[in-house]
Amino acid sequence: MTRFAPPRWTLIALLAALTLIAAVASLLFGAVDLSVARLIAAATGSGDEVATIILFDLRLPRTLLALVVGAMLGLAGAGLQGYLRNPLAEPSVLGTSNAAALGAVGAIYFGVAELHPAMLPVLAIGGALLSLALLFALSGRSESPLTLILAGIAVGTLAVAGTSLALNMSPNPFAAMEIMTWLLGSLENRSFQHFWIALPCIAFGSALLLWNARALDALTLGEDAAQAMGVNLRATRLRLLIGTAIGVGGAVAVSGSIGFIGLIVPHLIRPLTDRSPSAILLPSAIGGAALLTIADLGVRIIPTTNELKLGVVTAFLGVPVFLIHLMREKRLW
Amino acid sequence: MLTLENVGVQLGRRSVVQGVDAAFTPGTLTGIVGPNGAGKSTLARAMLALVPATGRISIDGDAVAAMPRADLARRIAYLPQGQTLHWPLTVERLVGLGRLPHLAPMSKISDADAAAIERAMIRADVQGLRTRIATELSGGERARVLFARALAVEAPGLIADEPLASLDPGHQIDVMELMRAEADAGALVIAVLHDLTMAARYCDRLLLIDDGRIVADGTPHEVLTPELLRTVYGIDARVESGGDWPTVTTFGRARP
Amino acid sequence: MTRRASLLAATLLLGGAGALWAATSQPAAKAPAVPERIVSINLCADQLVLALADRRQIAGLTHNAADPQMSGEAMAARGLLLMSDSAEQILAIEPDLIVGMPASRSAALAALPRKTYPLLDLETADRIDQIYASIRSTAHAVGHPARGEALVARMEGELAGLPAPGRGRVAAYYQRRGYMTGTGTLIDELMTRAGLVNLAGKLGKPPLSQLSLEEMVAARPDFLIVESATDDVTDQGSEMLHHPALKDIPRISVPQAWTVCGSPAYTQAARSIAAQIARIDRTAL
Repeated sequence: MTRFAPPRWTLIALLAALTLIAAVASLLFGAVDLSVARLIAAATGSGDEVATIILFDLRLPRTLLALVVGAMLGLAGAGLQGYLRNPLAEPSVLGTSNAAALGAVGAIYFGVAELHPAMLPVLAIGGALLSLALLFALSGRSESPLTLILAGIAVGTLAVAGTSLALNMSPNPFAAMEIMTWLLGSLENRSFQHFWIALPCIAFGSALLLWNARALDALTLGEDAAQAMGVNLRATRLRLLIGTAIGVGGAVAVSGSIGFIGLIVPHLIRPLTDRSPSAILLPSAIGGAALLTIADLGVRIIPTTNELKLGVVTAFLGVPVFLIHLMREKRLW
Repeated sequence: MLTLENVGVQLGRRSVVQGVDAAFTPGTLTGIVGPNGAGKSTLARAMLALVPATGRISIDGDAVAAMPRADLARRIAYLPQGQTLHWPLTVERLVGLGRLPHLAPMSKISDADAAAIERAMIRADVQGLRTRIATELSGGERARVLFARALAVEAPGLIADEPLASLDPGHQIDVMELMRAEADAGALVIAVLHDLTMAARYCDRLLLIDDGRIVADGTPHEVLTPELLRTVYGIDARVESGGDWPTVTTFGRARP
Repeated sequence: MTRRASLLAATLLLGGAGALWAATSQPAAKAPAVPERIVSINLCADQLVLALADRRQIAGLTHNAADPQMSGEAMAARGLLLMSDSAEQILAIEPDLIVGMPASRSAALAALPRKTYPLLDLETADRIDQIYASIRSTAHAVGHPARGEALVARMEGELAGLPAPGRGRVAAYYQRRGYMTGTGTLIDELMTRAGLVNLAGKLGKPPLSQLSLEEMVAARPDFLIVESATDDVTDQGSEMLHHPALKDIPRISVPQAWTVCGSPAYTQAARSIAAQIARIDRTAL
């Protein structure tokens, strides 16, 4: 059986082009119809005030956030799948995103974020770290996908319950109405302030995850063989844990818990590579950026009375992927 | 030269390996044999610093415990038990993983690496399978491919843990011949084996382990005696030592 | 079932329902001339009762009455009994006047069908003359009609003297999550009184709608009127109101306690809006 696997740099270039198109489209569409001419004028500095404000203060930060958050989620999914040797692993399935949302909710609705703006990502990252530590403790050294997914469900459900409780107990009476934004994710009304909060966390987290590339390849043959080939397992695990927690924590702190990007993108990318875990890392990041930007575009284009949440769109895209995988790999457990 | 001095391994509260003294020289194929649970695999893993061990394990005088992992990886290649393979890589890519101990953090596969991969595939006779997907191969083919991966490391030492498991007699011979060829070419090869006849036929030397201790250490003729087989395995067996290697025929469980 | 049997069953059912209805809907009793145990079951009714009745006449108010964020008369409500929405509490107090908006459809009262308390039903006020009507009827019901007239006169005087610095400029009342108040509301009337045009009216929006940030930027109103509690960012809804895209639009901030109800605080709101417009115009020069 032959495989269609384009050379690596061709794949990356194609994905980058797709991402660029998605980003440009994201700048062109919004609640207000602005003609391309007006937008170009605004972009070059000679546009009218309305178009300039909409482009630079509203659409640009939103697009940039969709790109970096999407990239982080795609990369985190690829990294977790490589390390756990399980194609169903990703931050939301494992409960990490929801735990980060719990941290963020704690920061905002209990006034902690008012102490210092950095408290928001710090608490979100803390939530993510705790959940990952709990996950590893629960699933232990088990290589069974079933154990891992069950542990992830347990952690995620706990985090969601905690988030609901926190919002209901908050002294702010409006807090409980914002729960959907946190549990389903949204990029509505984001500003550059959010971008600058998320970017350093995502950059750092991504660097740690990409550093693991070789180790992930070696793990194809199991932990013993990997160690015997020079991989420091403990360092690898630590980089994965901290990189995922910091990156996903920073992303969720500004966008809420968006699911399935980390599941869909590596799954779609894998058949186009040589299937080794290292080969899908960077393409998953770029693909994730493209996918989330497209999903966010969908949120704005699909006509609804109430704001459509990002997580709804990604869920509709993601669940079929889950099902296809399930049906194809009947011997999953 | 791999030396073990009074090596012991404790797993939990159990002493799995105790008081092992042995020395291995390049150019030999040594078989480690013994009953289930004797500590053979644990001993092999200790030699690779995969489990903490007391005593001293050294390669050419350098202690293994103090050695950086990458260094150790370049000196001894490891073929673990089971045919673990998590991702459906092509054979060529899989064999290429063997070069990891030699690759600097951000470097790509060099021409020297590619040549080593090629050599490994030819030695293991899998070059015809290079574009096949490793997870779709038969048991025998997969065993050879994984062996090629170990060969690609081009390390002076090789430790194989039960490389014959779930292989038919023909493929078992293939793998033993590969290891023999490596030893003849000057490598230090150690194999943990269950099949006494295969061990007897191909190994220069056998280490018989029981309950974590070395019970016998010598040529196959010296080690495979009916008395030792009864004591260690609890079986009644006949050993024919007429040919180049002893043949073991088991009759049944030993009566006390 | 046969035709005759079903007809009989229907008659019985209807008759039974009618009897039940007759038994429960009794005309409200008449209140004494000067009630001594007044209970208010609505925040807006609280405002009127606190402004017009003597303290010793008030037997119970809603639990929001002492919340300064929501109640203009919060200071006056201190020390008085704050009730939850409980039929038991009403039963225990045995009020001789219940003021509500309206009182007759209160769920707590519906749980006490055999009790007939004197009720005063007020209407939600969307215009100033409705506020005056409520003041008058409440003053009459609590036994101090003269106070009601005096309050109305005072309010008319204050409002008459207010300038209208809006000069036809456009304003939008922007709430958490982008909700905007439309025409036919008290807020709308306050805007008109200050000389402002309601953006929602200009865009043809209903009394309550949502406007996204992009749409607000494109609409370019001259002023944004916000509820003062959203001046602090405590949740995502209020965070939206502080988005940099809105930074160039001058802001007028009014406490919700003055605008959520048609109450005497209306004049404070009108005065504050006019003063803030004037201040913005001065600093812009």
